[in-house]
Amino acid sequence: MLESYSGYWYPLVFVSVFLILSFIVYILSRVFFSSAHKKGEQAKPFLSGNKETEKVHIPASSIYWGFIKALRGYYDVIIPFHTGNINDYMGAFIIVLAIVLTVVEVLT
Amino acid sequence: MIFEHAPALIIAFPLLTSFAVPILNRFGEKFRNFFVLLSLLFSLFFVLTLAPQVYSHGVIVYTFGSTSPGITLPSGYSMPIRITFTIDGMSIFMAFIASIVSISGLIYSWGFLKKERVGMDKFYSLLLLMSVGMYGMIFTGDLFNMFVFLEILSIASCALIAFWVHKGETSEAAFKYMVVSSIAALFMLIAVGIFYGQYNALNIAAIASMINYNLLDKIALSLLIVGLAMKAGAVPMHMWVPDAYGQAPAPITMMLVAASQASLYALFRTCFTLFGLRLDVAMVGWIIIILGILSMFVGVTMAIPQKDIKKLMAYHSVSQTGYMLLGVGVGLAVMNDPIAFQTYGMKAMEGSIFHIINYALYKGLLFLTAGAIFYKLKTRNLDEMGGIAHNMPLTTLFFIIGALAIAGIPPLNGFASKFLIYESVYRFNPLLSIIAMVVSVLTLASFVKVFHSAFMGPKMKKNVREAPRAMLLGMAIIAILIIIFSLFPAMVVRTIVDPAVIALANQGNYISAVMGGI
Repeated sequence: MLESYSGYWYPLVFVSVFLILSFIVYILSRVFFSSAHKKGEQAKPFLSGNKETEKVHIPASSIYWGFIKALRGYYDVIIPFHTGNINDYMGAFIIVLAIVLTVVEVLT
Repeated sequence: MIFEHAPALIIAFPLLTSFAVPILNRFGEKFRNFFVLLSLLFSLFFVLTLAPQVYSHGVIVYTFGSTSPGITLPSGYSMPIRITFTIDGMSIFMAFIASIVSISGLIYSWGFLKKERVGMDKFYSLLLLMSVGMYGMIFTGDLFNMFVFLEILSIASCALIAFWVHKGETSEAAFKYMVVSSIAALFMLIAVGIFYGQYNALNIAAIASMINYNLLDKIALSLLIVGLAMKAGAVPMHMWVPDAYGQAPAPITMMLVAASQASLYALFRTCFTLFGLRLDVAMVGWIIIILGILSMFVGVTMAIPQKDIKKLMAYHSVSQTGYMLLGVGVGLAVMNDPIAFQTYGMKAMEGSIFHIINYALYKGLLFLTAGAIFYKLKTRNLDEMGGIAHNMPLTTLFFIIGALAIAGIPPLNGFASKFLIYESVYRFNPLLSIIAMVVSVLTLASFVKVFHSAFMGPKMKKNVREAPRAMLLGMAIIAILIIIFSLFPAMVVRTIVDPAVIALANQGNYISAVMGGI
């Protein structure tokens, strides 16, 4: 049992409960959903009433576009910061070094 | 007894084998591979034999060429001047990581680079030198040798990043890594020079016993913190990470993760063992905390828009490094308050140090799965992937294990270490803990994107089969360790993490083990 300051974590209990619940769900599905259709229209995923098309795959660049758009102000700053130019890498290093030197020298 | 020389042998086996590899290569691929593996297994064996001694006796000081690290002049003046390895719980903990990562990276390489016909002797020589650099940085008891081993590690890493030298991007990434590493090492050397000029000593314990935190010491401290933080990939000095991790062969990316952690180790050693309570611990602790928070947030938010699977994972590496900096920073910040340190400072450090090994495992596994995908699909672009789970079920399983672990989903090991960090950091400052939790949610979101775009959906490419057996074996070793660490976190914390935390927190034991033996 892994104890923190105010709680504990016991993964074996978590796994045991998960397995027991999975077993119960499996039994319930066998008992109550044995008559469910396994083929035909009922077995297909419901996509907002649209006709299901074959080979549809949303590319990675389209995922979370809303998140990125919502944080456009942040991304407009942070992405150009990653220029890929080694001079800028060293610039960041020098700036951090200057800040740390100032803080350590002046404030401590 | 040979076991008395275990610290030296841990380095000696891979070092000697690395120079023998070009000769072993002439006797055939299998012969060479066997000896390379054997050398790393010997190192692991001696790490395992050394561990009980460290846990039972405390700090072990091994002096090269003598029984004592120092000399005593006729005037009575004593000083440790010899080359020493000073091994405590933290060193052994890091040595476990270096051993596991090196061995699984090597086994994975057999499959991953099977089709390469040129330069494999050099590849394995350099891989062994990376191990030597890591072990050396972890074990050394003096600052100058830490610089030397950092250089060995950096040069070997740099050459391996550029292994596919015919691709222009790898050379560019290696060049950037070389510049970053050289600057970090140069500033470390300046810091070592400052200490040597003042105290006539290079030994960490000797300097720690004399250090008085004057202006020059503060300059040296700043140089060490910033240089090593850059090598560990802390924001805003992290930009080399996606370049280097993205372009290196997958097993080398995994080794680079452990190499960055060796720099993190050096950073922690500087703060806790070299300076200890002579520091303004609150101020320096907050510097590390701020670097950690920036790394966590910028790393994960930069990962989300990425399309290159390895660059995405590299940004997550930056983010995960933030967790380690956060927990240890909190521990350092409250170190001069015994009640706060005992109640939550130690737990924060426990969580962070536990996170180091968890991160090495699941991030290593994720980079290996990315390598398996690249090996089969010849692309790292997520837009060109899809339906891999149909053809590569075992790689998919390994990816799921790694992704759930990095996102901190129970019951995997990432959750256990993050749980300790969240709860203890909350006691220090609730806002920091909330940021850490938000970053975890964003991490999950990012890996859901990878899982959906690479593994789910219809097959994008036909005739794709599962990765070769050696690659699967490399991934399986790591996955099994993740599961063990997930199911028995308390055992892991009690056995290897707590001694590491205690070793870091007790500067006096480290100093007396070296200075008392002169």
